[in-house]
Amino acid sequence: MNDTFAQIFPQVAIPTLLNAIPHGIAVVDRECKIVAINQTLEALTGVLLADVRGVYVDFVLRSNIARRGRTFRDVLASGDSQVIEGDIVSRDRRKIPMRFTISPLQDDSEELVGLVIVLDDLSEVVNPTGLGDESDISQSIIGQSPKMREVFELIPLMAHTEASVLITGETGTGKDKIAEAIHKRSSRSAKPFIKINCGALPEPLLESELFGYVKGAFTGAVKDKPGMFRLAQGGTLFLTEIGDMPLPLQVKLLSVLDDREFFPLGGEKKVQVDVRIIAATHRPLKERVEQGLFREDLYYRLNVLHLHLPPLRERETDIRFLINHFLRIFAERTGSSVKAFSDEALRVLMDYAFPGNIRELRNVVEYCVNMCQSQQIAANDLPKHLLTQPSSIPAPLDAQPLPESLPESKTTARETGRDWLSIEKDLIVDTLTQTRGNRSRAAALLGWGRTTLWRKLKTHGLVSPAEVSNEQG
Amino acid sequence: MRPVKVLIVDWETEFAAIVANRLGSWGYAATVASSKEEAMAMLAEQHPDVIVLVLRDKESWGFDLVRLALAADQPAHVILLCGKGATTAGMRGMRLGAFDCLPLPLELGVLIDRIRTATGFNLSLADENGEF
Amino acid sequence: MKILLTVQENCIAPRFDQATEIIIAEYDGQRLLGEPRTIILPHRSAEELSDLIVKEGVECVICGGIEESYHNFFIWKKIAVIDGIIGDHADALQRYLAGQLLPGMVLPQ
Repeated sequence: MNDTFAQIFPQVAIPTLLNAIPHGIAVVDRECKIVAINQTLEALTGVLLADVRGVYVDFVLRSNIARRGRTFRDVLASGDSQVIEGDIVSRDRRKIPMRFTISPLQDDSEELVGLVIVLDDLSEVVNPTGLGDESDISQSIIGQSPKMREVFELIPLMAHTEASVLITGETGTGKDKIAEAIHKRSSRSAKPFIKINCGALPEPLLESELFGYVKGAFTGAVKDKPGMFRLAQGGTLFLTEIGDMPLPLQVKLLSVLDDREFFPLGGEKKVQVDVRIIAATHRPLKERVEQGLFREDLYYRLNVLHLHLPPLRERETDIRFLINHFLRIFAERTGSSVKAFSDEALRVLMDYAFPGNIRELRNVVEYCVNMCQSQQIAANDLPKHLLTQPSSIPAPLDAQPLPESLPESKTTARETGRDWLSIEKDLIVDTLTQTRGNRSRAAALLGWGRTTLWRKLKTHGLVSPAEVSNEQG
Repeated sequence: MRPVKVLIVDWETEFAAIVANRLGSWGYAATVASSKEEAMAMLAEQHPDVIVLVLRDKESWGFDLVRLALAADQPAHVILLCGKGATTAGMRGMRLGAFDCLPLPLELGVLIDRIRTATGFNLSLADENGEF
Repeated sequence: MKILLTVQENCIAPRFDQATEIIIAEYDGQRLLGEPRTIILPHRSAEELSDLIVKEGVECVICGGIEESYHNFFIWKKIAVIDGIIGDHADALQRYLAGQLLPGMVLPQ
């Protein structure tokens, strides 16, 4: 045993220890004000320790268990730990189910000096089938239908590379949940998953959200503020509504992805980037490229792997499953005696196109449960627009799956019966096409070392016999 | 001179605590009770000048309190706060003699205005010696 | 314009969906119109708070943590949202009026 280390261990920098633990940790004093937080918590909350020392802890945690501080004061008063389940709202506006373990901290003389609060991300536990609580339901992954099963099969494969993924699909199809699932299965799962909506914010705000700014960058910038790229360090950055990103920012994003570094606003020091990018859009991106609204080079850069989520109307088994699931939830919640939909009502629902997909289905069922006075929901209880809709509605113009004829990534979920080898082969071919045969760049894009790529090229028979014999000779 | 005493009665302790806190920063001596028994006890002990009673549904748990408050030796003005579904209860409370009935969500400014009107626009009331 | 802040005692409340105390202030440029109103909600409900915001014609919401669905709803309704604010609510309001408040700011204590 290394005696020296054992002796100095108590003095080993506490931050190093806290940062090695992949759970959010906060240490607070007797007034519930922050003494220390670790990097995991910094990423979850979007604040740096330096900025929040002395701040009341729940302003940073944003939990639903604090009861205006009473929860923490109870532990301080009793000296007994508490374990409570609840949730937080993260900096990227996600509600994340959490288990909070709140333990008292004592000094040498056994005086209670503060608390340590450990956060356990319960997302996997709470949503094993993606069903979770009601607020998550619109983004749940229900996958009984053949099309969704294909998507599921691709998730671990996508998870095990570093390549950028582009997820397409209409709104309400669960793109967010899929992105998170990919992250959780990847080697980056212990690091942050940060989401940012590129379509919701005006350009200057989006820029500062993505890249952060330094103190003094503009009037009112009293502190450095980390951007989402920095917060996602080591983890995954999920860019939603990428199709709506303003062009100037697309340029900046592309150079950040290429150079793997950037300047925060007003900054002079470059920040290194180590994030895996997943992007999502409901827009037909190729069209936007043609219209000059989206940069072609960025499009290829993001679209190395492509996952398409089919709309609900192409997932018949899932519709029935969801109807029953929502019916149960809402009936229970409202104490209603509604038990089922009538055959006629079901027919209308199965015929309906659900342009709003899962989210819309959920709203429709909720509406029916609230409107219906009897045990069975009749067609009359359905929202009127379902009844006046022609049953065969043409598919909305959003995200058609990328046509097969285009040379870019063909790794879609819609191809039945394909195994990973054939998908991988296509992936390699597509990437090499994009890089015009440059294997180093292709390897980098795919997140592989050169030798790995070489090995795979041989496996797939993509190198000429001459090259192989050169290697062996 | 003494501050006006306000007793807030609501079975949802958090709402009552917030109202008490806000009234406190406006110079009122505000306390809370979260059950009928507690309220009756505090009524007898503290002799509040105003009782703010929260009615959250059709139940009439507060009416005994209204009657008691009005019948006490030192009667208290009763201001009802009525949530959704409690409007009828509110009207009944008015018929029993409550000073006013305000809707929820609560506009603090309106409550303070009603308290002032009820206590004759005096933030502080004369103490036992009749001095302000 | 009407500005709504979710508060907890003197500070911006940690979370939009847990907030029960709100302040609505109306401004004409930098000039305050009337007294700011303090409203106390009878229970926590992001839905009811959202309704209130829309009914009142609020043009800007200054708050703590807010879920994306509500954030997007307000943006869609052309209501500005400055979220993730940590600090004194009066300070936050002043900075907003001076055009110096950005989402995620931790105001000096």
